[in-house]
Amino acid sequence: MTRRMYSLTTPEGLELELELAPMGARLAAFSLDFLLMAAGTALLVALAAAGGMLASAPVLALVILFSFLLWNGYFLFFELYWRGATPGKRVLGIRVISRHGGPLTTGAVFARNLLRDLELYLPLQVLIVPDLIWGKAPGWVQLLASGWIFVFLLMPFLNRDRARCGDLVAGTLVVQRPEAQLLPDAAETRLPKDADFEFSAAQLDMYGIRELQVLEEILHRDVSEPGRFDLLMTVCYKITRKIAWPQPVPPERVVAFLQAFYRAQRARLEQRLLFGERREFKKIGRLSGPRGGPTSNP
Amino acid sequence: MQEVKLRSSDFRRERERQWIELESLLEQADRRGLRSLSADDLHRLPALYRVAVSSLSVARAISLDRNMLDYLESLVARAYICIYSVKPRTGMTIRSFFTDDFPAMARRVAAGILLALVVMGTGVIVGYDTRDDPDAYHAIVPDEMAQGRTHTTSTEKLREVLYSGEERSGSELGFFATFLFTHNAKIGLLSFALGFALGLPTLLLLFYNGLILGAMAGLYASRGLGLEFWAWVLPHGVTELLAVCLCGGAGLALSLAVIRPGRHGRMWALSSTGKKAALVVLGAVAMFFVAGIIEGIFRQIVQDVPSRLAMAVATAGLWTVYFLLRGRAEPESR
Repeated sequence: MTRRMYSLTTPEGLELELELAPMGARLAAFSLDFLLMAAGTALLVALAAAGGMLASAPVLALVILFSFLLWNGYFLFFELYWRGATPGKRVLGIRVISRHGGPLTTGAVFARNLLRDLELYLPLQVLIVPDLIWGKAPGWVQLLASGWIFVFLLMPFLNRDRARCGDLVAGTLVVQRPEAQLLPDAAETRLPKDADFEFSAAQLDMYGIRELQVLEEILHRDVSEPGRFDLLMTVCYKITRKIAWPQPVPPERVVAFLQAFYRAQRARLEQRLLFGERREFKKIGRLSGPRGGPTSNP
Repeated sequence: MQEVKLRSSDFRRERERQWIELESLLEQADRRGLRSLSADDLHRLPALYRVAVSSLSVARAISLDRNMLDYLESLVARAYICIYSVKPRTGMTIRSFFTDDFPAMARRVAAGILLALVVMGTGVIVGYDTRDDPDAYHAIVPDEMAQGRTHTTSTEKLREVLYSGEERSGSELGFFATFLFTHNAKIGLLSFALGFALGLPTLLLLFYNGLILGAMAGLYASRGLGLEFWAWVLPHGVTELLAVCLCGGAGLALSLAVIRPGRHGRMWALSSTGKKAALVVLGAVAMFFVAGIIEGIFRQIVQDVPSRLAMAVATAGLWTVYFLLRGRAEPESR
């Protein structure tokens, strides 16, 4: 499934884009939690059985009570006290948050987990042991009711926020934990001493923000990446043609040229940004002839 | 003349260190929990978060450095998730929940609860009406629930059920109480969840519950055991049935929110009701626990009708006072 974003306004008034957790990750997280709960229950029963005490009423009462607490309290406990994530969610790197911004409240965590009976366990029972649910109900009732019940199961696929019923009732969402790395500023890399390229305003006005950021991405590429240098050469050639750079750039100066151009271009576009002008895309065509402005250089 | 002034680079250089500090705190919190942070770091976290928030909004306005923008975007999102997924200190403690918040929340969904009570009450009356009709009784009360108590059972046998259990040992009673509690709580949770299905299943469940109770009461009444039957049911029944109606009523409140969302729209109405209703269900689970103890232990030990009736009246009075009067002084929503 594709990345899907949810934009929310933080209590500080900032608009923030968060990536919704993919359904696969949510399913995997739930399966993991389910296994953990099942293992917990098995351990509980095994302990009691090992002591040969399953027959004794107080032990059995404790087993029943603990498994009730385990199955109903597991999600509540972790989502409340473990920053919105059960162990399964943690492993998959997803988190529960409030969809309206602000903290996740106790009521919300309860609400989203109380609905699981309806939207998951009930449909599963209908699938696995239909007789237990329907008894002697007539066929058309079974069909209608099953359809109704499966709407709940499939709810996350029916809305754009991938919210299950519990999320709708609680006003919550499950999001992906964001990851990003801060790379060195592409405009701050040390330029060689002789890299005194100079660009005219007309030359810098040929390109827009999108091209600037593509260039940034290319400059950020790792030196060891195969084909990097060919790419730089191509880009450099295209730029010189478009801005009517008077002479060809020798290969050993390509990187320096691109860095200088990036820096000058960014300065130009950011300056225009300050005046409220966002130039998104390049101009069509090329700058004609050496009228392109003062060119320099040894 | 390579010194073109780049404001965005200066901007970054000035704040970079704080971003990286925030990132490493978040890293630690993610890996080892917020508790692993020192008091000092914990104090710095919100301050650094605010720095990142303001950096991001400035950067969006002045910078075209894609990598930095992406980084800040995700840094703020991470910090936001970390900071706002901590349970807020709203002052609601376990104690205040039971003394004030629970009844206050229950009154917020009072319309649903009253509807639930009415529907269940109607069920009881309709069921009671079958007291001279064995066929109707048979249709209403499933065999596994009747456990041999039908119109063909002798009066003596029927009476025996009301006073059985005295011979059970203490630990057996404990088991019985636990079983009753978990069983009833599961039904209560389900009847809440069914409220999301536009309430119809919840109404059916409530009505049917009332129907069974009424039919049984009718059967006993037809043998002149009416009072003794109610003395058997009501000591725990008051608490248990009320808890069922609270769960069902909370569920119905959900459907009301979907049907009549009000001016903020369906999503908002649903979630704002849902958060309150869920806490009502939490309180109702505690009531099921109390009911389980009364049913599993008290009723087995106390066998005379006046004491049983006194217990029923006492619980009814307590719950009435509790739900009508407690939590009045509470300010707006928690």
